Amino acid sequence: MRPKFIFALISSAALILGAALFLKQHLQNASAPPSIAAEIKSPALVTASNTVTSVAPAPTFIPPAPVVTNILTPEQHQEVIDAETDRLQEWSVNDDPASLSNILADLTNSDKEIRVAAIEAAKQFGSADAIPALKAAAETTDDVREKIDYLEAADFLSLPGISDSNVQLPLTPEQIQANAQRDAERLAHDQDEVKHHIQDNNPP
Amino acid sequence: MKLTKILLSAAVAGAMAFAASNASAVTTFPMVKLSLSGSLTFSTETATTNGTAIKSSSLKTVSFNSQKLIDRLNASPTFVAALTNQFSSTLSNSVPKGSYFVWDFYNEELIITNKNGFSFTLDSNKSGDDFGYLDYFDDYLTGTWSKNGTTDAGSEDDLIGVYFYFNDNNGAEIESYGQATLHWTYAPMTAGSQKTTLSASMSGDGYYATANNSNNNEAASTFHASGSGTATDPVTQNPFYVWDY
Repeated sequence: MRPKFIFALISSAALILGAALFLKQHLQNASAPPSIAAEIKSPALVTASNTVTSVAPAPTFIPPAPVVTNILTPEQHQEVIDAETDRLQEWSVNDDPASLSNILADLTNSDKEIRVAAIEAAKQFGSADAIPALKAAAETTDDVREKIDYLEAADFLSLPGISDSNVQLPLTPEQIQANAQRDAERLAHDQDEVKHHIQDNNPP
Repeated sequence: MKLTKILLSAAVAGAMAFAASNASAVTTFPMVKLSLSGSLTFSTETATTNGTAIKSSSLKTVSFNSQKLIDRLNASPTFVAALTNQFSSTLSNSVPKGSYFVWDFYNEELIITNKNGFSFTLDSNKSGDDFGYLDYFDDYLTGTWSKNGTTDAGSEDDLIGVYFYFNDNNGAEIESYGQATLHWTYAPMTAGSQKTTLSASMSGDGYYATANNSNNNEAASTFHASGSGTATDPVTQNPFYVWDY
């Protein structure tokens, strides 16, 4: 009786183990591996046009191509953002079309910090040529705050510059008096600030 | 004799240690590379007669960014004279192309500089003329922060009142009060110091502004600035919010 019982027990255990292995293998084949998302994606260049050149294509679903990139640590991610922000600042003080193109390309960067820096760079570059791209970028976001930022930048660039109004008119006596009063107020304010700094930062 | 030498050596060593500890406590802050922008709305206040009706001219709005402010300065005879005086050369009569503004945060100074060594402080310069500055108000400072108790690495977010002033001494003048957000990040401490990054973003509204001396009354202006900078700061002054109070 005893050897029979042991044989039956071993057989059952082997059967259960075999079934488990089969199921595991089957389930692995059925599930796809998770895709790795890119930390920073380079955006496509924004082209602004009011002309419709083609009709809408037939609704065919095209699965996105798998993107394989390294996953960045938060520090590395910040370094990427800082480097691109530095580049944007450099482009913003140039006045060549290539710099403007680079700035406009970053208006639709996948990273919000870079998009914000690109909006500021467009304002600093100061060309009305950026207006269509800013308006187009405003259409790409559902974030109301960001939409406003794009449109405000476009409005900003549509204004004449302060350097275009540099014809100086003579001051009236009232203006001269008001200026003197403001200068005195500013001086008093500066002295208060210095005093406050000294008080604050002196060791007790 | 031997005892005197030992005491003397101890005194010298003590003095050196004291000097070194004081040196490491020198106040430094990141210099913030700043992008400035805004607008001015004003009336030229020139009445025109149209038949029987008399009316003023319409309001006019102009914009400024960092480059346009620099352009205004370059067009100002007072500024050109200040540059010439600063560098003792008539060849230095304009801000070089590619220059930008930097905010010397602690000293509340605006500096125009570039990568080739040009540097001109708008307020504290040799001429005695004041072309602008950016103040912050300690009295209107609040913030939140967190630091690692072992490494001292951390971050901080502050809100603070600011005042922007620009004057080309040739007709353009802007005064704006506003609020700034200061985002600080501190790297792990090394020998009493830590790499500190300051990102500032601010905006404000006008107190007084004129584009060309032509407006009789105060004009409305808006002001925006943002940028960041990095320095190696003493650990003791981080968080800034706590240190400043």
